[in-house]
Amino acid sequence: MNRRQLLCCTPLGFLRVSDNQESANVRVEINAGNAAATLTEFIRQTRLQVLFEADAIRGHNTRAVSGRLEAREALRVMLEGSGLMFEIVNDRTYAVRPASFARTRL
Amino acid sequence: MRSPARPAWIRASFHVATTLAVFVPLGLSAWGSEQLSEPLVYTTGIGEARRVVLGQHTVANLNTRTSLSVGLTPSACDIELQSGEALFEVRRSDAHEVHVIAGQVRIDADAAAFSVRLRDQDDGVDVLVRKGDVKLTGTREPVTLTANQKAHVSSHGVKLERLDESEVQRRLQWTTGYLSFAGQTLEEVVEEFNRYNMRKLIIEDRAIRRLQIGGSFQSTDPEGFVAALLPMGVRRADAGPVDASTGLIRLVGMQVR
Repeated sequence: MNRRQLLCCTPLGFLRVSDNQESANVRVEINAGNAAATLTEFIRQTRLQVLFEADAIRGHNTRAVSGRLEAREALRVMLEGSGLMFEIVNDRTYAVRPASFARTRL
Repeated sequence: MRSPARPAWIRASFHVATTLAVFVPLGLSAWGSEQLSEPLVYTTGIGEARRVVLGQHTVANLNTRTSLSVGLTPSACDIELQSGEALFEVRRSDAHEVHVIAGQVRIDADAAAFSVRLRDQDDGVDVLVRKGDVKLTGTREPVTLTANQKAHVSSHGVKLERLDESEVQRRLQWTTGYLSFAGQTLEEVVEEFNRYNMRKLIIEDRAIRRLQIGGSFQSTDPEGFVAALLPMGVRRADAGPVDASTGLIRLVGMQVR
């Protein structure tokens, strides 16, 4: 298992990282900024599905990313050091949440 | 294999139909240029979208479960939104008027892009202007809406709202086949998904109703949306495939058993 796959792993058994994962490179050009705005831009440029809890990502900032690369690599660069992480839901769907998210609060 | 010969009456009907198809339109076009032809009706089913060109000045984008009736003359395009929602793009013209009727409201437009939604259960009409300006009548006072303004017209009157350009874009995302959310509650998001799908989402846990959702999803992928809710602590109440008989996908918080 390489480093990228490790990054995508979570304790949740329902997630999978398969070989047929969307691997086409996309052109992205996203500035650093608050996560709600930069994730919206990520969605616009990649046409992928992304879901997050608006309240939970408030106050988090993401890094700039530009170039031609895999969408999940772009997302990894954006979220590095932001306190946010992403989970792969399916080939074209990501969920973004705080790394310290407490699942039991509901 | 030899196909059976068509009966004489079918052949005769075919000739009559061909003759009508050729000569009736010629006759109609000669019959006074202002004569309104039979209105055309365009519809979409649940989850469908459709783009139609109406004459030389107007394009209509129909959203899910929408029905439009259109009467065209050389000087006017009269559109009636009978149900659902549509985005209209109207080019500038000195000699051609475009009117949209939705419930009690009439919208006059020239060089504008605007959406009109007829809400279910007599909950009024929404008009959202992306570009240019439109005039609303049928309200107590005529109202002019400009770009990035929204009006909700109901029996209680007209409620105007000024929006950011990005918010207008978000609300019109449906034209691309996607739904976009920027802090709407799960309850509102579920209601929006249910407009586009036979498989209905239903919230069965009060604790998750107010979760604020952000992101973007294909409007016809409720299962993908539900799968992406899991990291937020929301899961389906029942595992396995969607119940085909009810078509319901029931949502609960992680701690509800």
